[in-house]
Amino acid sequence: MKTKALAKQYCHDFIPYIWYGIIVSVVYILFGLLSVVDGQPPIEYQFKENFFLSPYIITIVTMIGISFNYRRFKLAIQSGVSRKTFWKAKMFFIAKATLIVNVVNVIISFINMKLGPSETYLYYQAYGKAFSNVFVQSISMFITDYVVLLFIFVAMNTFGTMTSLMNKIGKSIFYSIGVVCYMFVTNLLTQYSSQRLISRFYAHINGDAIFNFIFSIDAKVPRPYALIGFMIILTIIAALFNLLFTKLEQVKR
Amino acid sequence: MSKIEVKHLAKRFKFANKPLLNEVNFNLEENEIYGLFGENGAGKSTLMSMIADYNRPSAGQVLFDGQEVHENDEALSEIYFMNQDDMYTKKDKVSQIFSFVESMYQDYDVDLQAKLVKEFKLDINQKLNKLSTGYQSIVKIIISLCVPCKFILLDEPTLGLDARNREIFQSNLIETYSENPRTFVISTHIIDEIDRIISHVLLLQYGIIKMNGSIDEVSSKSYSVSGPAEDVNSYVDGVKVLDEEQLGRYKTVHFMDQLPDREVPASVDIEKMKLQKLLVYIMDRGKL
Amino acid sequence: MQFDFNSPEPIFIQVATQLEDAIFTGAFQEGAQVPSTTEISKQFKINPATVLKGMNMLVDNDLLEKRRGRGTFVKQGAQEIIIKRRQEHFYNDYILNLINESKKLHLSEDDILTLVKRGYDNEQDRS
Repeated sequence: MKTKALAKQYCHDFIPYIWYGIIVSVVYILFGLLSVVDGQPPIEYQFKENFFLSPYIITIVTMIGISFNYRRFKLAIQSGVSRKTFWKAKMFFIAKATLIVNVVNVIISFINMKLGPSETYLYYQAYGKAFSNVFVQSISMFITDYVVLLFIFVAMNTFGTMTSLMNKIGKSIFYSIGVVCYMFVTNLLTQYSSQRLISRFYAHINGDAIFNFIFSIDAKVPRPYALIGFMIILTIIAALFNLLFTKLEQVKR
Repeated sequence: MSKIEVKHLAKRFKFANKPLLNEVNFNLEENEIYGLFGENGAGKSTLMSMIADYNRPSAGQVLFDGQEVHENDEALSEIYFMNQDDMYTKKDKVSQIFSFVESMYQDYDVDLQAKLVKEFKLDINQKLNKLSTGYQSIVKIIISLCVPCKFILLDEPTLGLDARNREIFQSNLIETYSENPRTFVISTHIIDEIDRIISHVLLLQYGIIKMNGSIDEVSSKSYSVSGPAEDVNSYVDGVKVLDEEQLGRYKTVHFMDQLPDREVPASVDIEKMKLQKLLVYIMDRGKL
Repeated sequence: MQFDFNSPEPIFIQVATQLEDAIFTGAFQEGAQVPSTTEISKQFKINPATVLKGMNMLVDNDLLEKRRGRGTFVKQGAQEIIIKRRQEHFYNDYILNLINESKKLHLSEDDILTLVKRGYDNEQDRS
């Protein structure tokens, strides 16, 4: 009972982020249209060019909403639940939030496909010919998008949970390390010797085969089963890390 | 009968040279009203937050009916802790917060809530963050009186409340307590305000429970004796004196002990000491 | 009712004394219901357990009786009991104190008796 009631409250608090996402994408599209000079290229083309990005913008904005964890924790602990129950409520909520965001995204994607070539949509790039039946194809698209989004959201929330464990000093150290690592890795990638090392490692673990398997690239009719399975496994791993971090949470003074 | 046992509880903060709580031991029995006192920074809030599993202790344990409170849903649903933080969604209307709490607790007392809203003159259609500090506390007070928990911990509940609202809080606390007895732990600096309401005194100092006793026990042996210095001295001889004041030959002695078993000199005046005064003397001296 | 929270008497005894006084003066008539524990504790902001302790003292002294589910009532003959008891205490509470104080003021036994007589005469004159 408490799990559901909490999840409901979290959803209620989360809904505004979907609106923020929609507002941000509208603003983005308007800016794109403003930058059109002398009707070159035509405004219609420019609109389509920007419109297909809106699901991704909504995803990014809602991702931020999902990552805030501390105030959800405070609400849970004030209501007399354990951290584990809080985690359950959180996962329940994320599953629900993913569903809502996914419905919004899929609707926009359908409009998008009506407007232009369906290849702009990532699912169609990979699995455009997965099912000949339009209905089955739509369901498959919905499910694939759902599990991918679910993983992103759970991972984001896990990230938010981890950073909520740190104080201000800890957070700044954590982000500094992140920036340094990023610089180090990008630096490494531009060097010939390390590139060779990486490609050798990639060949050693048979990277191509793994990727081909996950995205069913070599299959005659590529279908998203492997991707869905892979994403579910990743989601479970992220959720377990989430539980680990959630158990460590405390109310700050 | 439910009870909470606090055993060898300690709390050390990183980078602090002294532990905040050293070795805290006491029990909370069912249907009693405890006053938790101590100086600023004595660790009252920290102690309460560890009982409610908001924070983890460095050592020791908190038991509810013999079971660890930590990560124990059953125990935690019987413990409600009202602290000074913003725990509820600040952007929500008060009415939304109330219905959320109602959805979290079976047997949440909706009738009492309606009565309190009326008495406090609280506007429930206002958003929580638009309310004054006093009214934000009132929202929390209302919830803590209406939740069906056996142990209610209140940290400075009347902070920021005006005299009228403090009065409403006190009389409703007594009323709901007599109709539906449960345990309250109230921490406050305004001791005078609750010294007749509480049934037990807990004094926290230097990281330990310095005093733990029923109010009758404590107040029946705290006295101020005044009169001519020689008469007072001979009368209180052998008593552990807490503090004394002298004005010329007129002397007042404060102590916490039984009255001496000898005849009271006619010139000597005996008065009971208020709890507030007694606690201030003890805190000043740092020992009993 | 009034409570002196500075008096050395424990509060539950003060509650008992105050209730007894009210019965003695007839404010609470015999057979009438007395206010409930909740009412008293709410009004004077006293812990209900303290009030109950005070009330139970009067129940033990046969001044009040509890009727199951209906409340607490003043017992028949309660006033009589109080008067009898206070008469017994009169000597200890007033006469001994009177003698004590009169010694300090160097008043003789005859002086006291004269003063008592004067008090009664004045009383008669007034009424």
